[in-house]
Amino acid sequence: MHRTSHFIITALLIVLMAVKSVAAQTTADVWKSFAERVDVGTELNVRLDDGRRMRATLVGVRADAVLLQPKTRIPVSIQAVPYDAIVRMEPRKAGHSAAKAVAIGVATGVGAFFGIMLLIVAVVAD
Amino acid sequence: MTLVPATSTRWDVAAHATWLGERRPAESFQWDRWFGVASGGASIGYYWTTHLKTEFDLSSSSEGEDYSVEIIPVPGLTTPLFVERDHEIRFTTASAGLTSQFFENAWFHPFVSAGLEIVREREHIETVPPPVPPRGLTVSLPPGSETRVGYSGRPYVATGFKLYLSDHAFIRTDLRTSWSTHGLAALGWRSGVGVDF
Repeated sequence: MHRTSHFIITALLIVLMAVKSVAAQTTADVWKSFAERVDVGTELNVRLDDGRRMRATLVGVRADAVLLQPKTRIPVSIQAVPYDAIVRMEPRKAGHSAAKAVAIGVATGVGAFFGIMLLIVAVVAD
Repeated sequence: MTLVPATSTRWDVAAHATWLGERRPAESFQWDRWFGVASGGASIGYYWTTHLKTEFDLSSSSEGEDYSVEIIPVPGLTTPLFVERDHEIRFTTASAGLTSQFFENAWFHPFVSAGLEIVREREHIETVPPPVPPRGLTVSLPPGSETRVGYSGRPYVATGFKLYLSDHAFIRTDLRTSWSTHGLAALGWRSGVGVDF
């Protein structure tokens, strides 16, 4: 009885690990296939398995990783991102994003406020 | 994978203009008073990491004005004497704090800050003499003019954001609250421009 249950648990573990490995392999293959079909220079939204997100430009495709140039404020080196680390990857839609619209609105508001404050300071100091 | 540039900047400086509301509790006036003043200043910060910064700030305000009425009992009369006193207050603040900044190497960085500030409060008070002084009676009126200077320390918390206009130049704005044993002591909305280097 004891030997039988031990055998069943071991078999289950092997099957689970195999399934997970196949799933990871499949996902990596899917992302590799996807990256090969995207034009170089396309802007992508990428989400990684550690939770990080980034905007990046596709600059190349390797057998084990996709080569991305992150869209950062200060340029950083090209990053090789392994396919199995990718959770989501999709081309960015053209046009203004909601975040950009919000940023423009905020910048306009801050600029107006700053101008008004300078005027107040000038009037008070006069 | 890293989003941190090979050579990252460690310092930032900014100049700011502020709408500052300073609250004075009822002990110095008949009721709580808010002084709304304009203020200007500058800050300098040092980044220990890309997310943690120590920041020092110095600012000085315009003069805030208000008045109070002192009730002075007059011996022999049932009606007291009401004496108006005009207050002009200027606030100078020096602060040091820690700032936690979100996101990495982005154009938009929200942040939260906390620290301590020392406030120098210079108050000039002018007493407005009563239009019809009580005749034949001796009452002790407050001094015609006096200047008080006081210092106090208090904690602050702030939240805001930096919005970069280029690789290293930014505008920033934040809402800052300062606290005392009487509760909220000051509320400031600051906005300014700065640069990383």
